[in-house]
Amino acid sequence: MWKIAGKELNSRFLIGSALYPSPQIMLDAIKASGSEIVTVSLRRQNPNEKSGADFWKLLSSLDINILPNTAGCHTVREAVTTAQMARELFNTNWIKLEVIGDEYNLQPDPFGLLEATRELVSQGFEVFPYCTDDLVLCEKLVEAGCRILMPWGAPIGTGRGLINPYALKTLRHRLPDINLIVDAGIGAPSHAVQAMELGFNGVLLNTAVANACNPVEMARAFKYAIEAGHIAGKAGMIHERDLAKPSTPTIGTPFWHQE
Amino acid sequence: MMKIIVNGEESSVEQNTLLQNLLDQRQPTAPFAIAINDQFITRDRYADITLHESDQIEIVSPMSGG
Repeated sequence: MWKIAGKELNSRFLIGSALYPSPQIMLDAIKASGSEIVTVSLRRQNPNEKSGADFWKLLSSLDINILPNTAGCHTVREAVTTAQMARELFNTNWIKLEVIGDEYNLQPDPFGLLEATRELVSQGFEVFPYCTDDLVLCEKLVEAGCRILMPWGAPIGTGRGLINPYALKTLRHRLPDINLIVDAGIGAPSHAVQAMELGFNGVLLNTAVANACNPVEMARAFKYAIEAGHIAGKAGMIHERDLAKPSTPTIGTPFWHQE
Repeated sequence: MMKIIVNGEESSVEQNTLLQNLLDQRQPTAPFAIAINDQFITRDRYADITLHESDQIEIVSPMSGG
C-alpha cells in the first residue's frame, strides 16, 4: 500500500482513458492494468451525440479514482477555469494540471504552471502538476503546495522513455518526501521499470497501452513492470563496474595452473 | 435578439435571456459544466445569470483523456 493525495492505494500505475480502439477495450485494459487512478478530460458537448455521457457511464462502472486533466490549456485562466469545471463535474478536488507552453513538443509552460498551481492550491485543489524535470521549477511547485509532482519522461506520445534519467534521479534525491510520478513519454514497460528503479512512486501513461497492438495485454505488462521496478528500487541494486568480476568462486577451480 | 457563442458556434437568443433558459432550450446531456467568458459558473447560479451580447458560453462534458 502507498498513499497519494490522502488515498491509500495498491497500484502505482496511473492510466489514461484516451485513444483506445473501442470503449470496451478501454474498460478491459484499465481492469487489466490494476490501476486505481484514471485520467479523464473535459470537452465541448456535441448536441448531436451523447458520447460524453456514454463514456462517463462506462467509467463510472469501475470503482476507481478519477483524475481530471486540463489538457489543451495554454493559459493560466483556461487551466483554472477548466479545473473548476472539473471539480464540479467529477466531484473531486484532484486536478492533473497541464499548461502547455509549446505546441510543437507539448512542453509545459513552467511559469504559467506555477501561477496556476498557486491559484488552484489557494482554492483547495490537490494539484498533480504535469511539469518538466527542472529541479528549480519542481522545488517552487512544492513551495506552492504540491505534494505530488509529475515530470515528463519525454514529450507526450513520443514513447521515447526517460530522456534525462539524471534529472529525474536528482529530483528523487532532492525531494525525498514528494510523490514523484513519471508522466508522459513512456513507450515500453522497460521504461516504466527504469522510472521505478530510480525510486519514483508511480507512472502515468496512456498512449503506450492504448496504441499497442493488444492494449489489454500491454496494460498487464505495464502492471508487472511497474511492480517489478518498485520492488527492485527498494531492494537496492548493485553498482555498475567497469571490470568483470567472476560470480563463480575461483578457489578450487579444476585444471587451474599457477603460472 | 442578440448573438451569443455557444461551444464556438454563433447562436441567437432574446435579450435578457437567463442561462437557465438557454439550457432549457438546448437540453444538454448530463453531466455537464459551464463557463461564460472563461469564468466558471456553478450549477446553483444558472437561474441567476443573465446572458449578454457576444457572451461566449462553454458547455463541457466528461471525455477520455490522458
